[in-house]
Formats: sequence, C-alpha cells, structure tokens
Amino acid sequence: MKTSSYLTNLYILYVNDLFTYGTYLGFEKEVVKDAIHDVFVNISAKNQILDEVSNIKFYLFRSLKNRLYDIQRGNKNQIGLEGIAAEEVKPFQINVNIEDQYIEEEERREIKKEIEEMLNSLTDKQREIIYLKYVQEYDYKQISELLDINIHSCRKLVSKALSNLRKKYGVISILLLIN
Amino acid sequence: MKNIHYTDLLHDIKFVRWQLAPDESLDIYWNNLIETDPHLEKEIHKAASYLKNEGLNKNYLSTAEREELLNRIQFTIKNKTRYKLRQGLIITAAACAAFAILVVMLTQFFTDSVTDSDIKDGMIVGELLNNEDVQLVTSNNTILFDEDIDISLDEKGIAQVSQSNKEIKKIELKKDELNSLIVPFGKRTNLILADGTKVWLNSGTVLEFPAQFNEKEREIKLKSGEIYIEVAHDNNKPFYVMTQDIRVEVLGTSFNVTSYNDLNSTVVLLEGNVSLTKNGINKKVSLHPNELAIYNSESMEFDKMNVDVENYTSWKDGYLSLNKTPMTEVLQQVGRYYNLSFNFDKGVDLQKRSCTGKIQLSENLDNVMKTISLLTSTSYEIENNRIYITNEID
Repeated sequence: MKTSSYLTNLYILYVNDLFTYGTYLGFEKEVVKDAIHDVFVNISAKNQILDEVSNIKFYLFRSLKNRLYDIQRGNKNQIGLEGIAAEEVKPFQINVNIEDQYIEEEERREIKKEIEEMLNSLTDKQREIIYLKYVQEYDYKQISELLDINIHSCRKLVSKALSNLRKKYGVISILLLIN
Repeated sequence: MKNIHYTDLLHDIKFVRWQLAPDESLDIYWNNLIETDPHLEKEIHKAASYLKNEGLNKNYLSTAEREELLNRIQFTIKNKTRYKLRQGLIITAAACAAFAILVVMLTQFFTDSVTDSDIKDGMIVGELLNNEDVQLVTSNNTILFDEDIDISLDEKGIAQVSQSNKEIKKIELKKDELNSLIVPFGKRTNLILADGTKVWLNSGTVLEFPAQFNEKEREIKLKSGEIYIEVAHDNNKPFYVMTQDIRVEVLGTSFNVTSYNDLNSTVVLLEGNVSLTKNGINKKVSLHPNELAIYNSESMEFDKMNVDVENYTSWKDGYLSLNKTPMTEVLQQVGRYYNLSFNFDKGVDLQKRSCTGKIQLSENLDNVMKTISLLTSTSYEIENNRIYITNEID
C-alpha cells in the first residue's frame, strides 16, 4: 500500500498531463475525469507495481488510455489489456494555447493560427505520435506500447510526418547558413 | 540576428517545426545559430519550455475541479481500504508564493476535520482563539509586541521597530548571535535584514536570523511557517534559506518559503534562479521560474511541475486572490490570518461551494466575513467568539 501522500504528490504532478492527454484523445471531460479517478484508485491497491515501474508517468498514461477505451466499451469493472480497434479511435486534437503575457493579443492569435495550420497538415496518427515523442518525450518503445504498433511502424510514422512538413514548408537550404 | 526574444521564436515556424518535428537540416540550422549567438540558447530554452509545457500541452482542469477529483479519489480509496490517512512531512521553500496555496491544499487533504458535538447539520463554526504577541527573541532578551510590526536592521546591528510607520523602539542586537522572530497565527511581520533583503513573515512563522551576516555567506533559518523574500543581489555572498530538511540557495531573486508543520517541502520560484538541496546531500536541483518543486520525504527526491505563481503571491499584500477556490480552503487561510479555527462537519454541503474574487484581509474580521458570505452565498453570525456560517436560504 502506497501512502496517500505519495499518491497525492503523483496526482498533483501529473493530473494536468493526464487530463490533457485524455481530452486530446477525443474523450469528453467528465469521462476523462472518471478514468483518472479509476486509474489512481487502481494503483493505490498495487504496492509493488509502482516500485517496478521505471517511468511512472508513462505507466499512468498507458493506464489512462486503456481505461478510457474500456469505459467507451461499457466495460466498467476492469482495466483491460486487449488492443484498441481502429474504428474506436477518435481524431487526436492538440489544443494550441498561446497565452504568454509578453505577447500581444493579436500576435498570439497569429502564432496560434500558424501552429494549428502546421498541426493540421498532419494526419491524426501523425499528430499523436509527434505529441508523444516531442512534447511528452517518450521513446519509441513506450510509444509503440501506447499506440499498440511495433517500433518499426512508429519510426515510419514519424518520418512520414517529417516529410509531410518538408513538403509543406520546403527544405531549409544549408548553403544559406554557411554565409 | 541579435536580441531575439523567446516570443519571436514562437512566431518562427522553423523553430516550432524544430521543436515538434526536428530533422537533420533543422538541427544544423538552429545549432549554427546558437553557435554564432550564445544569448540565443537561453531564449530557445525558454521558448521550447513554453511550447511544451503550456502552448501544446494545456487543457487543464480548474483548481477547484482538480481538488474535487482528488477528494473523490481519496474518498474511494479510503472507503475501499479503510486506510488511515497519515500526515506526511511537508516543508516549503519557494521562489514565489505559489507555494502557500499548495501547502494549504495539501494540509487540507490530510487533516481530518475536527468534530464538535455542538455543530448542527449544514453549518460551519469558527472559533476565535486567544491572541498571542509577536515575539523578538534576542540573545539576552525577549520583547513582545501586541500588534503587527516592521523591523529594519542596519549595518551596525541596530533593529528599528515600527508599528504602522511609527518608530516605537530601537534594539541593539549582538553581532555574532542569532535572533528569532516568532509570529503567531493572527499576526504578520515585515523584516529588512542587514544586507537590505526584505522578508515578509506570514502568520504562524518562526524565523532565525543574524544581526549581521558573515564575510562569506548569508543564511537564515525558517523553523516553521511561511516567508516571502526578496533577496538583495550580491554575487560574492550566496544567500541560503534553511528549513528542517532542505536548503534553498540563491544569489538574488524573489521567492516564497513555507514550512508549516506536517507538510511536504515544496519550493516555487518567481524569478531568477535557485538551487535546492536536501540537507546533508550535495546533489543540487535547480528550479526555473514558475516551477514548483515538492520534496518527497519518502523517495528523498524533488518532483517538479509548472504552476501559475501569480495567484498565490497575494498574501503578502494583504489580500486573497481566489479563482474557484473551495470554501474550505478560503476559510483555512482566513483562519490562519485571524487566528480562527473552523470546524467542518463532514456532511456540510457548504464545503462544496467555491469562491472567485478578492478578499481584502483588513483589520476588521466582520468585513472579511461579509465578503466571504457574499462570494459564497452564505450567511454568518458572530456570537461569543464563535462564527456560525449557514446557507443563505436558511
């Protein structure tokens, strides 16, 4: 049994990330809250699991995603291990949120628009993997578990995303830099 | 490419691409720029951190919703296991006051409400406690003050004490000995140290400080409670705030330190740079502005997260800034400020209410209770040192 102060600290540290990820996956706010509740209640009963887990945040992400799809399937009682079928997956949407106080309001809108445009040039799957790899900074092994695809496919997905962006924005000329 | 500000970088799609989907040519491009302009690296770090912590990763719950969810989780766990909640030791040392609230928040979750047979259903009862004096304990004397005071030390070790801008006393402090300032619940004190560093002491604080600092370093000890501190810059003399189990090291910056009993140590930085160490261990953890570090006494490590520090600095300026803050938390802070103890019956519906707005913490408790009842749609009555809060409809 983990002490409640440990769980509370975990909660305080990761609840924002978990909630964000859950909503980006396309789930309703209340569903995400319920799933976070279930994940924390579940780990409170599992003492040694947390000691064995090397990356607790990743463990929480994976548990949350599984729980969300279980709830969607009406499967309320257990944290299931089965894969997620393609037809169950909703579009992965990143909320661009530029509220920095040093930036003028109009400029914030412009920045938001530019970034959104860039993200929209990616497919849902590409957006999710970019988010997991470069915002959450998970490695390919962890991403492959979260997305339920093999590592090779993860790499291919990332390089497809990069080439999409190169097509959209062009290649940066290295010659230009030498000057 | 001089004087690039991190906000310019957010505007640069090449930068956003480099952060979100870096390829070889982007790597070369940016690393080249960094080489020619070392200043750029700092701005890049700032912009990247903004993008990854805020810009693309924020769909947050409100503070009230977060707390409500945590309460729900803890309620389920408690009912499931009948596990007795244990209080952990939390001490806070911070570069900003974001701290204060977090501490309040944590205490609340672990402190079982005091029960009182007199309490009727749907009512919160507060009790005014005996007022204590502010005490200045020097090496050979203890001086009592019955009101909030300001103390200013000069280079010769003379402490000038004033009350509402009127000087009331001069006290000579011994050079090499430590002095303590004890601020009870219901009182506050401002202190200017010999080097010009300004310290705000919140209610319920014990601070130990020298009349003059030594040649090499500056050090004060927060025995318990909460301080907000603006450290006078001195590159040659680092400033240390020691708490029971951690040390905060700074050269010059503003931050807030709290160390109320039975809470985990946490640190929040407002601006500048501080490093944290667990007492007796050399490993340093550095903290950036807007970051909160929670010292975990079980793993003996610091866990870090980003916080909005602004909402939490208001205590030093004499008001509470509330944003959907649960009523229980508001009352807890008010209780500290005025030395009141509130009793919450477990079933009281009032606890589910939250407040948004500002509460001026004036001399007059009646005004404060009026504001709270207005913000939460409740009514209150003061009778024989007790405050009864009930639903407005009742």
